[in-house]
Amino acid sequence: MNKQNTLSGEQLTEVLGLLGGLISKGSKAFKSFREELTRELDSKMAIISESVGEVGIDPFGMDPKSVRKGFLGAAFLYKIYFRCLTQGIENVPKKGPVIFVANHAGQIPIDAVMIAVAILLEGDHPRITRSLADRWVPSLPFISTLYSRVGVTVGTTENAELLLARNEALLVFPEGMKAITKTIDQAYQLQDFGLGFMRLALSTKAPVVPIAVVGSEEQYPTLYNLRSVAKLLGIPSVPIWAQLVVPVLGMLPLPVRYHLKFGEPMTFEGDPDDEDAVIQVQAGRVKQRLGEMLESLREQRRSIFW
Amino acid sequence: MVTTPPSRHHAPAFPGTIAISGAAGHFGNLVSRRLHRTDDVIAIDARNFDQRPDDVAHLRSELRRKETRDVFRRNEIQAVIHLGPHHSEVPENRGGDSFTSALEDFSRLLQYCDQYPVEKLILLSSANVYGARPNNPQFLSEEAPLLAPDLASLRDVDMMAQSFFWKRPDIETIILRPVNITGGVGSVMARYLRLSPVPKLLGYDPMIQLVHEEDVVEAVRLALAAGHRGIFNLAGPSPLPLSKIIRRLGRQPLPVPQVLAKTILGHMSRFGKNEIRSTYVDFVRYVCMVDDSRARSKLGYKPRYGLDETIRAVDLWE
Repeated sequence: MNKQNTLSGEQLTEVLGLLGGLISKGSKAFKSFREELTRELDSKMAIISESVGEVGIDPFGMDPKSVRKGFLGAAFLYKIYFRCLTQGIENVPKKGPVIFVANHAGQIPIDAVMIAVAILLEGDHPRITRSLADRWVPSLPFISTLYSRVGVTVGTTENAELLLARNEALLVFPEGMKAITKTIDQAYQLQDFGLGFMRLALSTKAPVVPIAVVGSEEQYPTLYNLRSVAKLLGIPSVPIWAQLVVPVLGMLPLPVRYHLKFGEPMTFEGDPDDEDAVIQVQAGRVKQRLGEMLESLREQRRSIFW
Repeated sequence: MVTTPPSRHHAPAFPGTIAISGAAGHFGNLVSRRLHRTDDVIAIDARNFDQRPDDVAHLRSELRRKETRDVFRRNEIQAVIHLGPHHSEVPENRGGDSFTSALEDFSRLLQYCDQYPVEKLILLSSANVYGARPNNPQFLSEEAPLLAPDLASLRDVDMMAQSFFWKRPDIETIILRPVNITGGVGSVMARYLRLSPVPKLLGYDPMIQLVHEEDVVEAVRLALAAGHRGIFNLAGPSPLPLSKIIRRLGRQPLPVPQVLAKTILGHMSRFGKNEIRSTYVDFVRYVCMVDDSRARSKLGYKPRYGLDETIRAVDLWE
């Protein structure tokens, strides 16, 4: 009995050999993947002729070198971890100002990162996505610097208008905070849209491209939101994620499959300073289009994970 | 690169006599030298002004003294340039007395402008009056509120000049708000960048605008032309992250945790003559940059000094 249960030296060597082979194969595959990705990324970054001026950094603090570095990791998530499927990338305007409007989920903005990777890597006309952060973000050390270098700016009207005036592509989540405090039973229910993006579209005449994102709601399925604790701590949400039953690894997002769908550009005309009721109607058109796109994407999806 | 030296032999910028208050400082000296060949210049400053050009008259007096009023009474002063206390090399950190005297001095100067036939008043304020705050837009316009909590005297002098717009709409009042001035001038940012190593907040690296002192002098000259009034932001070449500016100066940034920053900055700057208020920390933590398109389009302002020259000018200080 004792003899049967013990691993003989031979078996041990065999197992170790197998494991070693697997690891070296894996690392080789990873290396070649990384090299390929770097090449792809560099070819895309070369196409982008950013107006970074004599200093190599744009006035908002965006540094193409940092963008490249960040996108290497983000593209790994996009291609391997979330195996993102993207449709309609041809709807991204080749140049000129554009406002991307997407549905939002999750306390960590993985959806924003996936959208940015798709816009950089998928199409023939790669662009760098600029996005807006909450007004308290600059008071966070490290994060403030990182965000600024990869093209995230403080979300003021002046900044948004200036970015669009500089022909940048701007990503916004008009649902705002309401979207990231949802629990899993409210998944993919579009919350009320803020009207800022529509006023921006009217004042800058930038086209609006809706982007439906499916998968983001299941990466961190929020079973319950401890609203009272959140209120006490003064933060938007204290979510209880399903995967937290697994220690340590439970902090990771579930490896769900992401689906992105870019809709056709929509243009709007009118007075940006009109009454809320008028702006609401135009914002409602975007919300409706995005809702339909979400619906069809979810119907196409066979499973959360593949 | 400066391609052409600033022209000195042009038509008088302003017909008549120009009074410059705070003229004995480094910046005042530059302004006097730029103007004295074409205009009559009277320097008003209680300090010694030995370096002044021969044809510049110097009144060694405080603004609130009777002698200063006499200068306005006896001369046809048509333009007044107030350089303010903060751009001189004297540190701001002198407590409550300097605060009240800065305001008293300026209010007295406004009285003289009101009583005597002054046609133009130029105040050299600072872009720091907007305050460095986390929710600042990347580029502040002249309409942004003045929210610098710790620069009360600077802010109040600026606001007094703003109310003077309404009191005397016939006088062409101009407020210039330049970003951090480099050169021999003792702006707080320049004094900060002269520290070695330069203490830098760990995890923060805001975009910073610098402007060369000669570009600001030129803006003062442009503002003297008849017809201009209003508030003008002044920025220099493209902004850079603070860490890059420190590196381009050939200095080492010393990353300091936020909790220790005020103490360390306070101690470092107390050695030598390089006094820096610890409340200044916010200006190396958050963005405080301005949009100067108004000065460019209305005054015809255009900085001549490139980024490298502007940064290296930090070390022009004796």
